[in-house]
Amino acid sequence: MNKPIDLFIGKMLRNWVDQHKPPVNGRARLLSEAARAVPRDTKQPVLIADHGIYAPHKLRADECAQALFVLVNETVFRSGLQLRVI
Amino acid sequence: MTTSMSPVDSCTDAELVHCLQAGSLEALGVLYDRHRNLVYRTALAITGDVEAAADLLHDVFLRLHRFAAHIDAQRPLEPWLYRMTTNQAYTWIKRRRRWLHPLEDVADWLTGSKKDMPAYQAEADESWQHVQQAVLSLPLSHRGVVVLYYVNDLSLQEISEILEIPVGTVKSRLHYGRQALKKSLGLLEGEVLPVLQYEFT
Repeated sequence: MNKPIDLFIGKMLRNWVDQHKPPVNGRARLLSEAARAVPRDTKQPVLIADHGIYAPHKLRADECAQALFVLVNETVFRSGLQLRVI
Repeated sequence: MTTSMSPVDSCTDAELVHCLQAGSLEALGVLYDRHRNLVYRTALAITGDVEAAADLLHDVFLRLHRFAAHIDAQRPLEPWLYRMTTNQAYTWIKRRRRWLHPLEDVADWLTGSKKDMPAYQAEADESWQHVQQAVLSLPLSHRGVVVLYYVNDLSLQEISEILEIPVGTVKSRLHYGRQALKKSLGLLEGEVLPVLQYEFT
C-alpha cells in the first residue's frame, strides 16, 4: 500500500471508522453473559464407575449397554451431575 | 493514580487462550481489552452500523469463550478474530437485507421518503456519510477485502489466509473494490488528491 491513491483511501477509511469507539460497558456485558453461558466441549469431570455391582468387561455387548444405561439413570441424572462417558 | 496490573495482563495471547480453555473469565476480559478495537473497527467498516458493530463485538468474544476448546492456542489469535468478525458481519448484512429492507421500503412508502427531508439531506452532505456510502455500495465480497486491506492494514497473504481464498482472488477483489471506491469518491485518474487535514488517533 504505497501508491498515493492507496494511502489516501486508507487514511480516509481509517478516519471514518475511528470516529466511533467500542461501547464502554462492552466488557461488563460480555463477562456477565459469559459467566452464565456454558462453554462448548469443556472438560467435564469424569465419573469413574466403580460401583462394585457390574463388571462391564465381563459382560456381553448387549449387557454392557444395558448396564451403562442403568448406571447413568440411577446415579448421575438423579444427582444432577454432568457426565462425560469415556 | 496507580493502576494495579493483574498477572494475566502480561500474559501472551496463547497463554490467555489456555486460561480461557480452563474457564478463566479474567483471561476473556484481558483478550477483550487487547483486541476489541480490531473487532469493532472491522465490524463497523463492513456493516456501516454502529449498533451492529457493538453487537458483533459482543458476539465474537462470546464465541471465543464458547468455542475456546476448538482454538489452537499455538497459532496467532488475530486471524481467528478477523475471520469470525468478517463472517458474522456478512451474516448480519444478509439477514438485514432479507428482513429489514422490505420493512424500510414499506415505512418509507407510508411516511414519505426520508430522502426528501431537509435534515436527511444535510446529513447526507456530510463527507463521512459519503465515505460510508462508498464503502457500503461495494459488493460484500469486495468490501471484506477492502476493509481488511485499508482499515486493518493487512497484507494480501494475510487476507488470503483469513478469508480462505487464493491471493489472486484477493488481488482481483481489491482492484475492483479500489476502482469502485475511486469512482464513488470522485477520485478520478490524474485528479489531485485533496489533503486530509487531520487524522483521528
